[in-house]
Amino acid sequence: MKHLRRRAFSLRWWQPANPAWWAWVLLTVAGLGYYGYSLFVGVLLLPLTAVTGLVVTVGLGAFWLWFIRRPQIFGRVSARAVVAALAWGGLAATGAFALLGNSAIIAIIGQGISIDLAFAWGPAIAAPLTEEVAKTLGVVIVVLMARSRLRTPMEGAFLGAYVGLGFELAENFLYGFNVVFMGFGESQVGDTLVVYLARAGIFALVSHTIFSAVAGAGIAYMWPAHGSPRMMRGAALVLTAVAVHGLWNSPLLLGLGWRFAVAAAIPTGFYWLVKTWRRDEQRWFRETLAPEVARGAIPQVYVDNVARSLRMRRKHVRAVVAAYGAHAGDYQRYLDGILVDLADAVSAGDIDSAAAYRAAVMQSVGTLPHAAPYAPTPAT
Amino acid sequence: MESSAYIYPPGYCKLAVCRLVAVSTSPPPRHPDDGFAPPWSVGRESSPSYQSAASVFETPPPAYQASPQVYRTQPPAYQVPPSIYLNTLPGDQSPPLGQRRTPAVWIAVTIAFAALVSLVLPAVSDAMIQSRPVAPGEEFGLLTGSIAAPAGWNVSVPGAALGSPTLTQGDVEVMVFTGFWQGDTEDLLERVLEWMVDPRVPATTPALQGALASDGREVFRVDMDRADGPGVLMIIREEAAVAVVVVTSTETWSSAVERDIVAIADSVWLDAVPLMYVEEAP
Repeated sequence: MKHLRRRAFSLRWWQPANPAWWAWVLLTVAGLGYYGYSLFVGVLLLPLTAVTGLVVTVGLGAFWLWFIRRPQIFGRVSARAVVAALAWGGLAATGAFALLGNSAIIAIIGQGISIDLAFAWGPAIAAPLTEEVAKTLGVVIVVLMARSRLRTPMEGAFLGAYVGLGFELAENFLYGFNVVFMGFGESQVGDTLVVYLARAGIFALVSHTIFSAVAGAGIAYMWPAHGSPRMMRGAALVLTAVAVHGLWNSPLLLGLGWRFAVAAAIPTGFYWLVKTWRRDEQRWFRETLAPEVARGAIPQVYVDNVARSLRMRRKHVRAVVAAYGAHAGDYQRYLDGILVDLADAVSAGDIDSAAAYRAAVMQSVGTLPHAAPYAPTPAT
Repeated sequence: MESSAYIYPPGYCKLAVCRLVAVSTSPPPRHPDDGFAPPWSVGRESSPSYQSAASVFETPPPAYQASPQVYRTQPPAYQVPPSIYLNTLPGDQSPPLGQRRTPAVWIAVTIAFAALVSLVLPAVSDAMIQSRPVAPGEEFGLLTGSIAAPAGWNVSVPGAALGSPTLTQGDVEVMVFTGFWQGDTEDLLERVLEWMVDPRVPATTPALQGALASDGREVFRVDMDRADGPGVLMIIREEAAVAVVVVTSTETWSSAVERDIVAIADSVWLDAVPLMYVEEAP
């Protein structure tokens, strides 16, 4: 939502007094080192694979960034938090957690139980444990770096999606080399594109981005900014991400029919979850602005008109435009943005900004879009 | 958190003439016809004066006349409601007492988990059994296929668990990995030799060892003169699926071991490569 001016999870790149910052720096650098070490020979031997992977990764990343940003209608994640989350997912979670941890767990299963079990079920056991936990911890680390809290499950889902996106991009890049190696470099561009077509195209909605969004929302329930933690619900979401990832990696889905069935069920279930989180998000918005309404600072109907989903807002704006003209649509979006910013400022304890946004809302009462400009008066 | 000095409505022009033009050219507002209530229509649903934009400008909404402080007075200085937990914790503001330790716990968990998966678990794996004897008739999975090893050989357990088993007997080591190739076999052999054989040592031309024309399986063998001992490279192709068997040793192996190596190569079963397989035109 472009009318939002405030950004959630704003953070500084240099904050040595913050232990979370140290954890992020150390593990991201360590992950970069091991990830780079893993790719070094491949990049030298197969430069065309590297170039192809980079080009596709940039395009894919740009699409997903746009796709994740669009539904941020009750608060937008700051650019630095996005970068921090992507770096954690792409470097720390892969290099410092998954690459070593997955191999070790599969090997231990083979050494301790059975080689057959490890070979067949190892990826279904090891990858969800290391990768989902690592990505979920990335959500926590970014929140702590920003010295913030997760106010709604959607905030956790957005941060989780960014962490998962970083992981997904790094993993796809690595898988490109794996498949090209298996093809003895016969068709570097073709084999790389096939990997991306399968993983980021056909099964795009069964990705780390989705899994981590679910787990991130779980963290928001378990560690909320306000109210009592809902541990069972949060833990259930985190475990759901782990379990679905495990199912996806398991030999149970070797048949394409089952795989496509699960591939269809996962986005459907995720959509249902998002609808639930949206209600929680709207509840947070209304509860935050309830004192404002009670003291007459903003009209109740203004708050009620802020719909909880992008689709519902579009529908509302279309109705406004139909009734009042094209200019009214812009103004409706502008007013929705101001109200969301007001809720964010109130929730953050940013008194000056809250006063400015409150006054902007007041200015809108009884006016039309081309009314006199508003210059906020500092709160007294 | 950022705040802006001025907040302009969308499309606003700072010049007064723009406002005049906008007022004179904008379409007159209409009644909502489907029950929703846009913000600026609050209280005007029953108002008859929807003839011009100007009249709407100048007529305050009746519903809000009951609370004139909304329009004409500045609200009292804002006090953060104590019931709202702060999202951002600037300066000296601290979370509730019960949650102050939570960040430290999360960071400790993160560091501990990183140490567990990247240091402890690999060390545990290294400390566990690395190889064990092969049971009679035992098969091991490859990435796209499987292999059977003769009795008397050992298999690397971590490698076998990860789909790349290494079989050993004495100094002789056999590694097997699989892949795919869609072009000519000559090009495949050239590429494998380029990647697998030390380029300083001229490789002999691959010899076709076994061409099982009935099922389209081809086996090629290259004897390598390595600096640290003899070596053999066996390339197996079955349609688009490929396996490479690499045998290395520090000493020349016996004929019994040679028979086992051939048996290992013969036991390689190649699975289909669904996404990569392109059937050649007849």
